[in-house]
Amino acid sequence: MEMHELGLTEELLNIALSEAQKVGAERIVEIKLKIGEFVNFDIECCRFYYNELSKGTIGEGAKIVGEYLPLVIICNSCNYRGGIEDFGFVCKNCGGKDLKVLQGEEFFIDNIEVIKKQNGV
Amino acid sequence: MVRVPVLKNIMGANDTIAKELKEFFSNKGVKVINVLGTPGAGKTSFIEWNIKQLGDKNRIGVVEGDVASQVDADRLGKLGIPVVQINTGGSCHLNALMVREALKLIDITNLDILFIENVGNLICPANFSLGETLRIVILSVPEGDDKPKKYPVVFHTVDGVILNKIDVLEAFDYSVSAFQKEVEKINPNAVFFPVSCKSGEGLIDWIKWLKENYFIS
Repeated sequence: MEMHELGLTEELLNIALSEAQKVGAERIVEIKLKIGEFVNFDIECCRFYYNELSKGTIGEGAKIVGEYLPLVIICNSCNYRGGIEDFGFVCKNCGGKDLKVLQGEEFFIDNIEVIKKQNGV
Repeated sequence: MVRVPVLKNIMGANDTIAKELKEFFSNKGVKVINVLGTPGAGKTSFIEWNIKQLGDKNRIGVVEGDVASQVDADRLGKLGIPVVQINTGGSCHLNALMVREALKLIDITNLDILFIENVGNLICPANFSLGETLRIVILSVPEGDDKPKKYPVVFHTVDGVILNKIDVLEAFDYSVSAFQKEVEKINPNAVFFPVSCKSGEGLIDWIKWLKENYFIS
């Protein structure tokens, strides 16, 4: 079955190619992703698709690096800010359940590392 | 080598369309229910039951998502309501673009409620908003009571959890309270309804809640 990583890998390749083009890059060396703990995304699966999808583009051969962002919440009752345990949405400080997620649901390209075209070449 | 900051959301394309859909649904006054769940949990039976209960006072349509086949669309079409089948062609979830395309085949202005039956899967659909008003997940007793522990993300993203097939509880080593406790831990705001789409048990409570909270007649 085609997993959702395929569509998302296509999406991230397109973003990376367009950003690389903007700065006049001739090759993308690395794509750095930030992946929230609460996003279902398998980076190994992404790498597999990426190798196929990027063939013949300036992104071919780029390394895909992912940094996972742990869940961070703020408690609306006691203002505790920090992690939770074992996906339990309960404040570790006061036991409150009125929490807001501050980090852990994002999924974006943080940066790309590129080789720029040499002038006149 | 140069490092170039990008800071672009990879889900951006889906989120943009989902936002447009949400506005569109809201402007048309259509309540949209995104039904997630495992394969075989009873998503279609649940929708069928809802149509029978709500169909006399509401105009209902269904968008059916499956990897292949028209089986579910044919089944629901027999109830005399508009049904559009999306075949995802191998993809494991519906995305907002697929729904937008499907809406070209259904007259949304003539609807009060639209059910979207997602592809049976607890992983991928969790991260794709379809612009829905309400998102629920359906599981069933034979699958075991440990699913919230194994698939926390989907449970965190829903407004309600439906546990189907409680008529066969005796045949399984299943603890409804353990399941409910796990759900509450991951999502204290989600409502929980143990039901049987076969006997009808528990479904009246769900309909009552739906009517009261989403202004459905």
